[in-house]
Amino acid sequence: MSAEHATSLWDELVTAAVIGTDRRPFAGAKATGQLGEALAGVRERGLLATAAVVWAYREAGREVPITGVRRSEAAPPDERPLLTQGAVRALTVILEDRMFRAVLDEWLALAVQAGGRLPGEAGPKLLDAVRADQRPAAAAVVGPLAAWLGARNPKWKWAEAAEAQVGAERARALLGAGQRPTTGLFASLGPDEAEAAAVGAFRDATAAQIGTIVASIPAPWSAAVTDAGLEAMARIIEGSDARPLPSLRDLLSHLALIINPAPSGPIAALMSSFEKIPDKHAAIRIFWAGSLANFAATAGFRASLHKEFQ
Amino acid sequence: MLARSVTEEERVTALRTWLWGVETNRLALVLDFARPGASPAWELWPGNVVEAVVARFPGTAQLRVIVAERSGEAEVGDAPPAWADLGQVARARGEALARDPWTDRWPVAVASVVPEVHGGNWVVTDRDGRQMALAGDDVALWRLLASSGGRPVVLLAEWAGDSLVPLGAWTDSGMVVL
Repeated sequence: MSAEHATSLWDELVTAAVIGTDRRPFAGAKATGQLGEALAGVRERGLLATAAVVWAYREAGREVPITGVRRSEAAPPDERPLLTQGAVRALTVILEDRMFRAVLDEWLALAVQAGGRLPGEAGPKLLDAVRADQRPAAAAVVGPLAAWLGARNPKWKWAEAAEAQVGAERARALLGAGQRPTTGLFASLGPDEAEAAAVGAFRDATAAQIGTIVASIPAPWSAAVTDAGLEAMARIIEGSDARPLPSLRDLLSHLALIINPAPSGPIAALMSSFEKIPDKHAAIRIFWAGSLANFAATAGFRASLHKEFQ
Repeated sequence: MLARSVTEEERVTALRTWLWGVETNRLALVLDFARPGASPAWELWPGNVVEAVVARFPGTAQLRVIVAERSGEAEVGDAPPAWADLGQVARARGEALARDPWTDRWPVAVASVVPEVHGGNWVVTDRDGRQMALAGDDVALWRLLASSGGRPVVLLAEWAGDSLVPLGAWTDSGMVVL
């Protein structure tokens, strides 16, 4: 019994099933060799039992034929050392969490400066995520693989033409752009101060808890975490009647965030302005809680990012 | 630990962890179920090696096990054991189907294969030019392609229907979980 015979027998069984055994009673299948033996060993000789045996016979005997298709060319080798695992993990966080997206410039600059190679599998997500002005840096970090992928995916066609090298000067310029704070209120904080503020404010909060907060910001507000948005919020707070509110801590713990009971510095200043927001502006309060969480998480993340590249 | 896969069944999520017994030279499957949407708590990570005693479920396939006793911490292993080409994989699957025709997914660990995409069709080619289709979500497929860059990898996958669903790859820089 050859594979071709088993295939034609299978086709017969399918036809019989399509027509239906009421209209044309199934007379049993004729087979020789091992398939014949297998069928002889089955007591039930109806259509379904026969189909089960023939299916198993065909599947178990399946081969993968040599088709001799020529492989296409591999990407040019990239001899640079891999970026550290911490640096790669940080990129994953930046790309997966909208909250950290603003740190991408900084990550790219640090990676270009470090001169390391991104593991291949992390390339597609980075190529997908970058803005037009970030493309040269992304192509440099991904290396020759970027152009190779660009030849295979129209979305990354640009990578075929991207400059392969990003000079040190360009990297410094990127780093400058990356360090531009994402919120105007914290313009003066460097990575170390930012870390101190973040650690103080969110001593025990996990990334997941902070994520919960940000996810809970109503959509129209969450899209507006910009310098201008925050300045507008500050004006609203200054103009509002300073009626005491349920404490920020209550609100934040309600949102599953544990906050340091005795914050200091910029966070304390922000919290005190926060507490002036009247009840009627519930959405603004949530927005502030989100912004605060956003800032602290981003600041802490930036500080740890620099350590990953040291 | 070779690979892991998640599939949504009718009412539950099936979590499969494929193991290779370094001392027994046998495959083993740890099968767990979770509520749909629940995030799986993986105890074993692809590419890791751990000393453990497993208990096999009765049945002709003798594939499914539970980890009865674990000793020591999991360690990062070297290249996973793999069949040399897709023909050997098909034969091993055939033998498993002959023992138990209900074997619906078959683990694939195959050395020196190159993934490629031709006009939206994903394929993997082994050292001799045997070729099979790849299936799965786009993110995993592009990650696989990028991890290989056109160079041979050890592919970890599941044989499902007529194609292979990639789950991981062993590359120059270690284990990539897709």
